[in-house]
Amino acid sequence: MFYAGGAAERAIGQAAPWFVMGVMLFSFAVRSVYMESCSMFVRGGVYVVVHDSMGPVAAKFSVSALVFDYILTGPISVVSAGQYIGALLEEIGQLTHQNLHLNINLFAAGFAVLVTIYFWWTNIKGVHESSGKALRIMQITTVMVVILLIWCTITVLVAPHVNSVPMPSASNIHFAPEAQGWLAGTMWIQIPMIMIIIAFGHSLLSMSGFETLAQVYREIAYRR
Amino acid sequence: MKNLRLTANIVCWYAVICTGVVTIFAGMIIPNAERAKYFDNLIGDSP
Repeated sequence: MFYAGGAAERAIGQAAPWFVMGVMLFSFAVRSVYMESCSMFVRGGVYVVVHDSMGPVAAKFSVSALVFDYILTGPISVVSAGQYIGALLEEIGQLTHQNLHLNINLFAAGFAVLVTIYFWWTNIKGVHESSGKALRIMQITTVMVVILLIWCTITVLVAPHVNSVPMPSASNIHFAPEAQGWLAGTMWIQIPMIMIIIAFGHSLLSMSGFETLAQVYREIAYRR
Repeated sequence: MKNLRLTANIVCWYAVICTGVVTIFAGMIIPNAERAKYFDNLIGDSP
């Protein structure tokens, strides 16, 4: 949960949570474009959609980018999960006074290989066979999110001190040197509207979960 | 399309609550100095 917010905060400063929320609200507009595209190209996939609207070269680039995205995000997500689980096992071992020493990176890599093989094996069974398991993952995640939200609310209510998150104004944006890109040292980086657009751009990572919609799109029937 | 529209709305609200609200909670609850320790280690396996 801290990943997207942390990446944004490192780039733009403590007002980042508001920009992450702004990106989430912007996602409603992305949803509308996505649904329009889906209704125009039923069962098309990225290649057909881009091929019909922008030509074959753009279609090849789009599919290549998508494959690259899948190859990158799958292993990163599952290795992260493996590191969390490894750290959790070590902490449980310490709490129960067990002499449990894990090589967390090795554990995470092994876990990643097993999970990748499992999902590959599940996916090749077919859409209908794997849909139930995809739903179960969402159900478990939802339970964890509800627990987290209740826990956070109670913490905010009972904690003696909570931070105030600075409002998303230009005066509260403090760019890290590497976050300024090729605008570093120019007058453009001082203009409030441009600062806010750049800050918004640094928060776009938080929209990465939107691929979830593809889980439903694949179930839309062929045109008759 | 009806199911896709319904799901898209659920995913959007899920994202607003799950990512947006929880990120604001993280900003409020985790001390500023403590958050900064994890900027180079966002997975958070060790400070």
